[in-house]
Amino acid sequence: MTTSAQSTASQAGQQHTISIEAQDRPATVERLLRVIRHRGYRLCRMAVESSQEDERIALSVTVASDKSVVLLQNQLSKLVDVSSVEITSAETNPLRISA
Amino acid sequence: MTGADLVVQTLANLGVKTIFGYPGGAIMPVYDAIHRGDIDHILCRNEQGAALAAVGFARACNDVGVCLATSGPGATNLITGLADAMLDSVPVVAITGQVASPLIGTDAFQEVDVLGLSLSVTKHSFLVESASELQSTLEEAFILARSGRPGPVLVDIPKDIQVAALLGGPASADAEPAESIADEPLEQAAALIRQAKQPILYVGGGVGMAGPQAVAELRRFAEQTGIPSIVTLKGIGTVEDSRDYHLGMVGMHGTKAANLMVQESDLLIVAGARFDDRVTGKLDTFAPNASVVHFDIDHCEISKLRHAHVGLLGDLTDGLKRLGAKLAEQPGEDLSPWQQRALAEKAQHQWRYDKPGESIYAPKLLKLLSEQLPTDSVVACDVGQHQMWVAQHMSFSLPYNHLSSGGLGTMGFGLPAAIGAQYSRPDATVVNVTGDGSFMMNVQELGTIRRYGLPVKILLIDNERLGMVRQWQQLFFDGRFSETILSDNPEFVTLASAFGIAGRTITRDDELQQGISDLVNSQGSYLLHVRIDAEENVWPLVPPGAANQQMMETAE
Repeated sequence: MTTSAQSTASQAGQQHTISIEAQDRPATVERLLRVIRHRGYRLCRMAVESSQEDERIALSVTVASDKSVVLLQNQLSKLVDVSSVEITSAETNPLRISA
Repeated sequence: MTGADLVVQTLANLGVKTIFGYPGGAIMPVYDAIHRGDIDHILCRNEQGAALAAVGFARACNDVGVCLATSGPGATNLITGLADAMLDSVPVVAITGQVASPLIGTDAFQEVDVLGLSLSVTKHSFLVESASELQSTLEEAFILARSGRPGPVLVDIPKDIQVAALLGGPASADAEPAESIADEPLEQAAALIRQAKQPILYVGGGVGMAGPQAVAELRRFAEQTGIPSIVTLKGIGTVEDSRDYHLGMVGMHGTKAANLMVQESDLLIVAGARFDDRVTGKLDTFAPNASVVHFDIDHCEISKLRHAHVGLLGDLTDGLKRLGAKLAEQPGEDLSPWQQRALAEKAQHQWRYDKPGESIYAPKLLKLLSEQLPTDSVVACDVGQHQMWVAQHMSFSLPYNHLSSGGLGTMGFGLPAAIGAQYSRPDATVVNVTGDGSFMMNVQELGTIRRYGLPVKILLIDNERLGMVRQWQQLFFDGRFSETILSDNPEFVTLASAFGIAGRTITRDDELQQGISDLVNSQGSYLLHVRIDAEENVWPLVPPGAANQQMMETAE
């Protein structure tokens, strides 16, 4: 499954792309999106790939915010189903947090 | 056995003796299993009461509390209790019945998307999708609830899984041990502490949650280093109030000594606290010249609101011990001028209880109550003025004895939390200190006290107002008392008597001693209804948007 949503709203703050790997459980994607919204980041683009064989899900999300993306990385990596969160955008040095 | 039997057996195998709940259609198989099982089920009179009783149970013994509800309205009523547990990091496992799997998503009777509802109010949540994963899911829920930063975990179980035929096995769900803090940041912390001339130990609820050993180690660290200490609302009881250099609670209704000295500190040693807005006042004015050394179990709290020069992630007890050893080997600056300052500020800003007049002064009432209660008593408060007076004027020997809804500020917390605490600490005197607003929020739990003959004491401080909102209306809304006047309250003593609970009303200062004595020495449950002046305010107060040294002390 691959979905992509390009936002048309005005850009607020710097954009960052984050790669997330997680266990594919009920509500995993909702949990990630909820944290992104609630912690103050705007979703600009998203791609999701899930594989039924190993119950894994991989997401690439581009977010925009005036806040540091590391704060979001921390909050996402705290989610129980999430195994890794990597900031992959060019503006920031890649930094990997294992959950 | 059935899935429902497996739920009850797994709980029993995990050491759960008491659960709080309310039956309904989609959880009936589990209630049937409870009827033949080995667990005590306490029927609360609203699922919110059950969830908050589980919170009170958990907080008073620092282990997991369990609550149970049906689908739909049962689950939605749990939500406030789960949010309370989420904001105060309380280990709770909530089990909800769900409509049968084939009916999920059909708008079936009493169907709501509980998994969806749970996302923002739990640490994690599960929808059990197959019978074979039921036991492992329950075990994982307990492990998650009590590991790392504790929190509520919900397990939603469709009815078809509750009636499925299953085999159970031995269960275990120990907390994952905290990782040891690396040596390098501890060394950096020691270096910062050695340089500091005006350090403050800023102690939050995380220390108590790290366990009694962490509390003991923190006290030893404070004693060894002589660093003046402050506590948050949830940190109350962690540092002994008798400690010379302990300044008391910091923040919006903190002590003057704590608020003045934290602002002048050059180093904050933060232990299990999170720079909440009720602590810091205007964040960028909080302790403006201080470096920060921050102990926490949750990496998200390090530098979330305030930059930490050194983050110390992991096992607090071991970390404090090792940091103490480093400082013993090579101590820092002479702190005696700063310690003398602490003693002077405390002396200058002592609480006063000599309010003139015949009426009852709530701070004096609570101070007297605190002096007359046995040391290991539990006080569960509600939310509002009385809650702040409890925090200011009562003394607690351990954090597990002071149950106060800190993060969520849940009115109606106190009575069910006291009921839960009475089950986890059956030999302790348990007192619910409440206000006339909060009491009515979960007043149905008087039915639980009656049903089980619980000896929970209730101190109801009645100003016929939603007092804290009234205080803010007086100070910040030009005295427009919108919907905060409760002069039509019920007769509280009569209300209690309808549940078989004895009680009396006092209104004058000269009735105080006898009233408190009647409350403390009653054999069973008792309601002491205390009328106080409607105009009484909580002081000092750091007004919204102000720095902590800008405390108001009168309404003038």
